Parts: sequence; structure tokens; C-alpha cells
Amino acid sequence: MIKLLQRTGLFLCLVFIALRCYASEQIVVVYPDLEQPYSQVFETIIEGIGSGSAELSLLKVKDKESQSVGEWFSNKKPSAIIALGSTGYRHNDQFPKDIPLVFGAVRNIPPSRSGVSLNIDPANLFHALKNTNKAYKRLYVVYNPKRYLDWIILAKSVADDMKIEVVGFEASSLREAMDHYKTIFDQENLEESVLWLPLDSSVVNNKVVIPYLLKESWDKNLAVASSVVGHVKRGLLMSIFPDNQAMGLQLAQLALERHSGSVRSHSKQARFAINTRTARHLGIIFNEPFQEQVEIEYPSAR
Amino acid sequence: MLADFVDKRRLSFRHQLLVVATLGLFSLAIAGTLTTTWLVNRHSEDVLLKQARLITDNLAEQSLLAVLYQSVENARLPIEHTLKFPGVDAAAIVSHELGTVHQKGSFPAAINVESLSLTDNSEPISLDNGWIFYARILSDDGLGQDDPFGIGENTVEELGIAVVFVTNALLQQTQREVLLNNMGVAFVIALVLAGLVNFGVNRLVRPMSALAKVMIQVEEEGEYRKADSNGPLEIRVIAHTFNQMMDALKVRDDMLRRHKDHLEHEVTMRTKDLEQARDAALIANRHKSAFLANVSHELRTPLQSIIGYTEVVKEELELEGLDNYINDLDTVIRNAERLLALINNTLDLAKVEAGKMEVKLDDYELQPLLREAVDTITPILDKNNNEMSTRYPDDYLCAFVDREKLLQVIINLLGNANKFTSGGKISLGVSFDDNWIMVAVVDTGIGLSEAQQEEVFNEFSQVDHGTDRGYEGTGLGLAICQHFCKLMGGDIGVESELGQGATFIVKLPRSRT
Repeated sequence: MIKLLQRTGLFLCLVFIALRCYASEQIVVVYPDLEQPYSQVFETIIEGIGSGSAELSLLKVKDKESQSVGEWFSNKKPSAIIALGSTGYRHNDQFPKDIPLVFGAVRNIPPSRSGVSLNIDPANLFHALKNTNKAYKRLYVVYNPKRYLDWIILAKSVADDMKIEVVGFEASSLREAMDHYKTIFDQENLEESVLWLPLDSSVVNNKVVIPYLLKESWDKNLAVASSVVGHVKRGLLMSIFPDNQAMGLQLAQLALERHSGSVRSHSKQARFAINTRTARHLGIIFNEPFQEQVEIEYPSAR
Repeated sequence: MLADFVDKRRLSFRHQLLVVATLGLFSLAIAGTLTTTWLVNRHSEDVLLKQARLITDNLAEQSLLAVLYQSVENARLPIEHTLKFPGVDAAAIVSHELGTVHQKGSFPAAINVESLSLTDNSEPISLDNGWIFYARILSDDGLGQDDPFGIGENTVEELGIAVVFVTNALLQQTQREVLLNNMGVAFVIALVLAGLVNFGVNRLVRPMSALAKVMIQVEEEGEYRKADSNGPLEIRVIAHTFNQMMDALKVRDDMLRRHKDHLEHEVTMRTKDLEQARDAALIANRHKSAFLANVSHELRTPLQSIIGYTEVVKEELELEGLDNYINDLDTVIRNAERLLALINNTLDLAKVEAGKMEVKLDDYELQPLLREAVDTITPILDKNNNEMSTRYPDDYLCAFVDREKLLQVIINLLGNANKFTSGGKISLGVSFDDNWIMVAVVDTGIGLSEAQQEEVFNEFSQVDHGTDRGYEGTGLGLAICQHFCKLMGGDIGVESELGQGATFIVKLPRSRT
């Protein structure tokens, strides 16, 4: 009995010491001072970062505060820094060089930097496609190779397992993108294909491209998916957008892992929105388990 | 200048006020119109330019699809919508790669829409007949540089430009209409205000005009009128003061009139008294003259008898050799003769004053008469050791005189000169001009003071002169001389200084006038 008590006490001490050591990690989150609705995005990400074990220290900055950011770090020694959004990225030269730095809440992580982009992991897209009554054979993507090539590569590696062909069209301007969209819509058997719209305004324009795609995809029964919930509201089939809280946790883990090189990843956890009217038009039926995961439906029926 | 004008025109106060007020009102109307028009024009131009800017930006936004597809069909609708806006004469969508996608309307000849260089979206190209607005056609999602999730991504492409020509003809027409309308309204208001000012000024100056009218009536008619105390405070004060002045003038005039009546009464009374006194004096003088004439006549007769009988007695005593009594008789005779001379003078003076002295005027040669006088006086010159000299002109001189009286005057003057001169010189001179002969008797005697000169021709003046007690004479001689000269149409005067001798000048007419 005494031995049992001794062993239990020793275990509890070890657990306490381990927790104590882990909780001593401190992460500084640098995020922009913005109004709604953008501020809501950053608050959710920060909430996700805070759901980890590290102690958080928040620094809300404006675009023109580079000097004060440097001063703020002069007497601080955090374990890692997470810079959120374009504002956080623009202040990176003010951060201490010897502290691990990761970027988040940006569309693309620049080369040689570490972070989690707002682009969803392609696996989520394929997961959604797998849960329909359709057997998709092709995934069309018009993309800018400067910013989206790694996603394409990743998508292709995932798609091979699902026997889906990823057909990428490189475009460096909106005009080229429009030409590619025309080419896609001229293809045969579009019912077996899906068009994915990257989170990149150089190839997707809300004013011109989206209306065009809406019309053509409706007419030619092409399923279109993107990362923007608003597109679904406007009539696209599906939106797969990042789970910001999960992305926050992903950022915290990446920051504390202290990788020596560049680690660029996409948001692994995604949320789903579908347009049921478009789905009916395309004859797409999502299975029950997937429908359970869908958070937003348009038009709002339920 | 306005003040000079109204002053030179000698306009009334009311007219001056109306001229100034009316000119002021019209100046205000013109200034207000020009200012308002200028402000409205500026505002209109600003609004037009802002509207044109929005139209062009809107066209640029709607042109994205047309530029991307090079599609005239996509370009037609936004251009037609753009041309519906007032003042928009032409619109074009130009692609940077392929040139003009679509154009409608006519741009000014100097403008080539495909060669426009874009430097700033906000500044239009200003032309004589309007403005060229242009805007970039951008592949902008609306986030631009404020995208909180983009880093180092310049995804906004410039695909072309939207060009709009906005004419200023409509603006100029509007500005002209605004100017004309404003001018019309302002002049009508100015006219109405001028009428109101006229009405107000009339009411305002009416009491003053009435007051001026009363003043003019007072000036023209000389009557004391009172003005009505109406109108503004200042006019009431003036009218009140004027009425008080009228009252005071009336009271003073009444007093003057009463005083004048009193004075006239006094003058009448005094005049009457004086006339009575004068009449009494004249009567008394006449009585005196008559008395003197009578008395003189009555005295001369026995006096001449005395002289005559005394001379008889003296002759008899001389014959008998009783010389001791002769001197006494001489004294009697001399005093009797003096008394006779006094009586004769008194008789002459009495006759003159009574107007009974007769003169027998005629033309007489002067030199013989004067020599006779000198001959008469020469025997007595030695008595005072005086020397006598004469100075007559060679010309024949004839005077229109009474010979006896002129002789008496000259003798009298020579006698006086001898009497008041001792060891001196006496001269008798004559001068003349066309009308007059001047006979001067000059002595170097005791002379006369100015006071004595003023009294020397009065009766009995010598008697009244205390210093002359040592000289014989009645004091009537010069008075008689003056009367005789005046009776002959001439005059007599004296020039002298005390101790420096005297000059008596007799002025005689040369002919009958």
C-alpha cells in the first residue's frame, strides 16, 4: 500500500513537472487592428492558438507601427512568434531574429518562411467529392504558378490515390485565366469534372469571372467549388473553407515544433458549405455523414 | 462723384435720398446677382465634374468584361447607359492590348482615345468645349491594397481605360439661364424695393417738406406761421424750435412796433415843440432886428448931431486958440464916431438878418476898387508901423458884385489886418480862374487858433474873446463881411496859425451865373 502511494505520488510529481515545463512556453501573437468582419477571423484563429498549452501574449498592431513593434519586443523573450495576416507579415523585420516565427492567416506562405496558409488542404476537397453520388474523374484548376504550384503538386499526390486527374492551367493574368475557363467549358463530359477556384484574385475575379462561371457552370452542369463561402451563396456548388480555430491550433503546434527550415502547410481542418439548389440542378447528392459535416447550406432551408 | 452729381443738380433731400437708395439697391442687386451666379456656376461645374468622374469610374467598372472578352456586345450596354447622362457626348472603352473595343459619340478631333497617357484618374483633360475624363479598367476585386490576407501580391491588373467626353455646352447654357433668371429676379426685387423705399422716403420726408414749405411761406409773406410738430423726433425738434423762434420773433416785432410808435409820437411832439420854439425865435429875432433898426436909427440921429455940434465947437475953440479943450473934444468926437460905427454895423447886421439888406449886383472892374480900399486904409498904417503891399494881375478883372459892399468888406479886412499886426507886413493879392476871383488879405500879425478860426465869423466873437480886450472893435465886422459875400454869391474864409499871421480870402463870382 505504501509502495502504491509512493509510486502514485512520484507519478503525480512527474506529471506536474512536465505540465509546468510545457506551460512555460510563451507565444506572442502579432495580429492586425481591424474592424469587423475581418477582426472576427483573427479572433477565432487566436482562440485556436490559445487552445494549446502555450501562454499567449497578444500584440495588436496597425500598419504604420513598425517602430513601436520593435520596442515592444525589446524586453520580451517569447518561445515563438505567430504573425497573422498581411500586417503581421509586414512587421516581420521588427521581430527578434532568434525566435521562431510562423505566419498565418495569409493566402500564401512565402518561400523560405514557415506558416499555415488560408488555403485548405486538398484532401478536404477530395474528401467532399468522395462523399457524393458522382464519380468524378477530373479536377480542373486555373492557377497562378507563382503562388499556387505547391497546392497543385499536393493535390496531384492526393488525387492519384482517388483516381482523379488534376488538370492544371497556368495563368499569369486574368485574361489568360478567362481564356482557360473558356477552354474548360469547351470540354466534353463536364458532368464528370469539378472546377476548383483557388484563393487567388489574379485568376478569380468576383466581379467578372464569378458571374461568368456561374452562368456557364449552370448551363454546362459543371460542379464548381471554392474556398469562399460567398461564392456558394451566389450559386456555386460548394465551398471548403478553413476551420480558423483549428488553424490556430495548427499554427501554435508549428511554432512550438521549432523546425529548422521552411515548413509551409495548408489548413488541414476545413468546414463545408453547399448550395442545395445547385446540387439538385447538377444531380449531386451528398451522403448522410458528409451532410452532417456541412455547416452552411444555401438557400437556407433548415 | 454721386455726391457731386446730386449737389450740382441741386436736388431736394427726398430726391437725393431716392437716388442714393435706388442706386444702392440696384448695385446690390447686380452684385448679388453676379455673386450668386458665380457661386451657382462654380457649384454646377463642380457637380458636373464630380458626376462625370463617377460616370467614368462606373463605366470603367462595367467595362471589365468587355475588355477581358474583347466583346463589343459587352461594351455596348455600359456605353449606352453612359451616354444617357446629360452632358456626355461620347464614350469609349479601350483595351491596352487590342485598342478600342467600342466607341460611341464623337470625341473632339484633337483627342485620340487610344493614345491617352494615364497619369492620374482624378484630373480630366480640359478642352475649350468640355472635358475628357478617363479611368483605368482594373481587374480589382475590391480589396486592393487593403487586403488583410494577401502578402506581396499585386493581383490588380490594368486592362484598359474608359474614356468619356463631357461637353460644357449644357453647363454654359445653364449658366446663361441662371444669370438671366437671377438678373431678372434681382431687378424685379430691386424695383419693388425701390418702390417701397420711395413710399417710405415720402412718408419720412413729408413732415420735413411741410416744415420747409412753412419756412418758405414765412420768408415770402413775412407772416409768422407755425409748423406742425409731426414726423420723426428730429423733425419734431426742428419744428418745435422753429415755432419757438416764430413766437420770439413775433413778440420782439410787437415790441419794436410799439417802441417805434412811441418814438414816432415822441418825435412828433418834439418836432411840434421845436417848430413852436423856432417860430418864437424867428419872431423874436425879427422883433430884435426891428428893434435894433429902430433903436439904431433913433440913436444915429442924435449921435450925428452930437458929432456935428462938437466939431463946430472944436472949430470955434481952434479959432479962439483954446487948444486945451481941443483934445477933449477930439476924444468926444472919436468915441462918438466909434459909437456911430457900432450902430451902423448893428444896423447892417440887423438888416441882413431881417432879410432887408439890398445888394446892387453889377459888373465892376476890380483893380480900381481895390486901390480905393488901399488908399482908404493907407493913412492908418503908420499907427502900427505896418507896411502895405499889393499884387494885382495885369489882366482886366471884372467881378459881378455890389461895389459898395465889396469895398466895405476889403476895407474891413485891411483894417483888421492892420489892427492885429504891429510892425509887420500886410499884402493884398488877387488870383482868379474861369469862374471865380479870389482876393487875399495877408498879414503877419498875431494869427488865429483853430478854435478862433471856427468862431471868427460869428457875431460879437471878438467881444467874447478875452485875449482881444486890448483891440478896439465891435466883433461884428467879419460877420457882416461873411453876410455880404454870401449875398453877392461868394464866400469868405480864413487860413491861419496862432502867432503866424492870417490870410483871409474872399471868393467872388466873375459873372452872373
